[in-house]
Amino acid sequence: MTLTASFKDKLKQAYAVFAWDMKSCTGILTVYSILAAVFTTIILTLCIVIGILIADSVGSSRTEAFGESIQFFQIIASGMIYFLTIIFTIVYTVQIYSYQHSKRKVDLYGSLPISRTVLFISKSASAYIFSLVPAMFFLGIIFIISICLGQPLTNEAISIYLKLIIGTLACISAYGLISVCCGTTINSVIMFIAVCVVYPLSAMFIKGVVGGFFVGFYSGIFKDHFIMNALNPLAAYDGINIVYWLIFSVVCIAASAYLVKNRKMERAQESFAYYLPCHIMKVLISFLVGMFLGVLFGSLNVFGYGYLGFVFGFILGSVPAFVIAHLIFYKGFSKLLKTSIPLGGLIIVVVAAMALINYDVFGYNEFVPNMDNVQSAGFIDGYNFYRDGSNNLNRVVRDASDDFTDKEKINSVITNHSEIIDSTDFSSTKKFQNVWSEMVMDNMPFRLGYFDYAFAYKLDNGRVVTRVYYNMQSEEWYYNDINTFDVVKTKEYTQNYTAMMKADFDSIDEVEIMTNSVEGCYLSNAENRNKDCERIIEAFRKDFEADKTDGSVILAPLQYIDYSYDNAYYGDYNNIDTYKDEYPEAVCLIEIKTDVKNYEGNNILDVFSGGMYLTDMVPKTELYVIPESYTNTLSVLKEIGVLNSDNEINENSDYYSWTGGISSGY
Amino acid sequence: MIELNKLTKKFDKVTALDNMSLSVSNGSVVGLVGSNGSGKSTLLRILAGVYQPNSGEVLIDGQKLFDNPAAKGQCYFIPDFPYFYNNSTINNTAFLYRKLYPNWSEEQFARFCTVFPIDSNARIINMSKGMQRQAALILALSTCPRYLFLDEIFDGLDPVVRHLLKKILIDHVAEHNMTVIIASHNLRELEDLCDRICLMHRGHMLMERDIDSLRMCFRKVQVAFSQVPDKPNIFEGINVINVWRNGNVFNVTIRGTEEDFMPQLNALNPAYISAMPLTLEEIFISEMGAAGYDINSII
Repeated sequence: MTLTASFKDKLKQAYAVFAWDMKSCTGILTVYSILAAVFTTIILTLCIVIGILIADSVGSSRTEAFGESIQFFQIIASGMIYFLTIIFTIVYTVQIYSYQHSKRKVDLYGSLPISRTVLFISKSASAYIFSLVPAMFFLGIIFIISICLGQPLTNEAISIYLKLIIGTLACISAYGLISVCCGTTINSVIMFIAVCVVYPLSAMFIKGVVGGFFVGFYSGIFKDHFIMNALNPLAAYDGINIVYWLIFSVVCIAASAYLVKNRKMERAQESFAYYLPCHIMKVLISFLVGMFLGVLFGSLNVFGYGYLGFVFGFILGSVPAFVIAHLIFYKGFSKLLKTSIPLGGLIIVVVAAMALINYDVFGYNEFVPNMDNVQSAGFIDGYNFYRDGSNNLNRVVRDASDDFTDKEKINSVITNHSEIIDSTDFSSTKKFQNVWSEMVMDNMPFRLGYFDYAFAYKLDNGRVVTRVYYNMQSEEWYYNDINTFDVVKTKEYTQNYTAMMKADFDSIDEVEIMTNSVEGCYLSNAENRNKDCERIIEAFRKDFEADKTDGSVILAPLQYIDYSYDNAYYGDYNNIDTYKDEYPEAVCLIEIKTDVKNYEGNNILDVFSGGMYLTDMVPKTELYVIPESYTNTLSVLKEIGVLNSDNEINENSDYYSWTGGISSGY
Repeated sequence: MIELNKLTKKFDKVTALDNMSLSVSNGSVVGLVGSNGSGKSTLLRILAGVYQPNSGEVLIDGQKLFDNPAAKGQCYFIPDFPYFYNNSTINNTAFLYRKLYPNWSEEQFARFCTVFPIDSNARIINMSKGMQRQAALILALSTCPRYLFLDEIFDGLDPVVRHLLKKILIDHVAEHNMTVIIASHNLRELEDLCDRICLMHRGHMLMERDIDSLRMCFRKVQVAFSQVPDKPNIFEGINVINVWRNGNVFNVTIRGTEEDFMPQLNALNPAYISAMPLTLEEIFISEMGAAGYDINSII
């Protein structure tokens, strides 16, 4: 006869272990509570006092300052709880799972009348609850204080709830699995740290290699992709890829529960109970160090050829890294040779794969479609490109493949593409140099900028081919000689990729009407939403839709470039006379500035998970030549008093300003 | 009833238990004795469900033990170095045990807290080794186990507490039909307590007997001759375990009773002959010597 415990009995046992753990963690919980309470009080006090002092010093309202102070308090205190919780979660978790790593604890827990799985799950539940409940409690207190003081909850503070829950679930589950596989607590901690650092860095190298060697491939698709941090549970604290992290947590706990049942308890105080994670980590560490030295030597052109430098560097890095990792995990050289087979496999696979992509065996890099095979094509000039809220450049570029069906325009796109290919450096060394920038660059919220170009083709067989080039890939650093005007000046392009046509009214900050470089009418849309701005843009759009000609309204980007580089064209771009030769009917110029941000940061944990931040260089300013045929636009300009009846700037307008003529978005 | 069937336990290349079989009936007190590294502690850990055997099985009252909470609820294991958390006291550790062990007895707990002279609210980690063992015993006995496994339990206990422990165990066995398995090198204490002895060496069971029959099976005989018989093997035909000669006096350890060997000894015309039972320690040394584990072979 075999007696089995009922579910109720199991719950009772699990609760007993939980309560027991709570007793053993009382000290740490108390320290957490004291720190959280003291810091919250300090932050509240400082925020209020400093807020009022600043209000007094600048002479603004104390009530308003108080409100802002409370919002600051909410964000700073929530952030403090966030970091405090992460630290204490690590402490609780390491302590709670250490029951598997000491022979004496193993004797105690192994002989208790509770199944191993129930014991492990109740230990995990303890770790989750001890981490989350106190954090939720203190965040609740912060929110209650804010609400009682009359301030609504900020999104930043609320999102911390979610981030903590997801991060805690993922980290505890991952550490639980690691602790089951390791024989000692120190190995578990080393393994956890290693996986959190080594995996994302390795993923960055793979991304860098893809971007660097497949020139034209938009590596921005990796941005925020779960694969970049798939094994790095700390990244779950970013609060993105929630579904992935939930699945990750469940898989970790399920795998742990399965493994713990048959775990050899006598492995306590040995290096590992299950060696697979150790082998994976050793290979990952070897890969990372090998890639670092390989790419370094490849980009430094040692041996006169990038690939040879890579092979040398990869072997030089990966072999010692493997041996050192083995020494750390195994506490000696035992089984070194026996476990070195994966290293050999790694070296062969990496060297072979790098050879394939280095020699462009698949012909990816220099591919330009044949005109006869192209159904439609599209082109985006990064400088003349307004993003209408979409972060997915890949999707935008793919959609661009439908832009032009006219053979002449398709030919222009292909010509531009061929010129880009001709001026791109495809040398092995250059590719290795590109890896470094490709590793980190897609953290920009939007990639295209000065001299960056995207091409898209829909081929006859329905396949869509896209390429994105950016200036650092060119031989001369910039693709200077590419003349994109043939495409950019088209109606299709203006319709699809300009702020004037695509932006919401709220996204346009300024509208300026000019006829020469010293005077103009300036309409700010930044505050209290100027209805006149809307009217001008609405009228322009109406005229543009009705305009059947191609290129009667132009963007004038070159002047900006010249202005930026301070050459001879300085000052001429905002003079209508500049355009009279080409557009005899030109009446005035309209310049708009958008609210596109220069900088967009995420979370500090991105430093681990993705790299650094770079400035987004999406242009903020567009300039249009308005011809006589744009009657709706001109009549609105007259109605609001910006132009007089002679189509000249009205000096009596409320919007009139003597600007000296220089109006720039930069 | 505890049944071990062809139990084997390996630690990598080391075989700690090799195809061991044993049957322990309820209400008995079994002593596990053996050389260092003979597998006594490993056997206890397998019995307690801490380790899983590589092959063979452990049945407790017919149930497989490993990862079986119901069967483990009837057992309690005190290892050679019991673990206590930094802030553990007897009282707060009882909090866990009373929820996990189905036979936990508040009455017994209260009783043993008064019987053993230690403070149940003091931190166990700060106590002496002997007091920590007493703490472990209080908790163990309060769970009213049907099977109690003790590893080197006498270490660090003073003579009074050792005596007290033996008395409590014997009473418990008598009252509750509890089965006790004790691994110890303290053969003197085992002699008082156990009714069976298992002798282990290098993962094998060398011998397993009732302690009384064990005593009866061995004799330490002193034989003196005025004229030592001129034979190559004086004690031929007698089951001699070892012989130590000092002139005309022979000290012989013999497996068997007087009835078995006296006629043959008398036939040798000894000037003096005396036979007496061996102590457990002497039996241990003799048997281990026969298994190749004696001082001479070590040195």
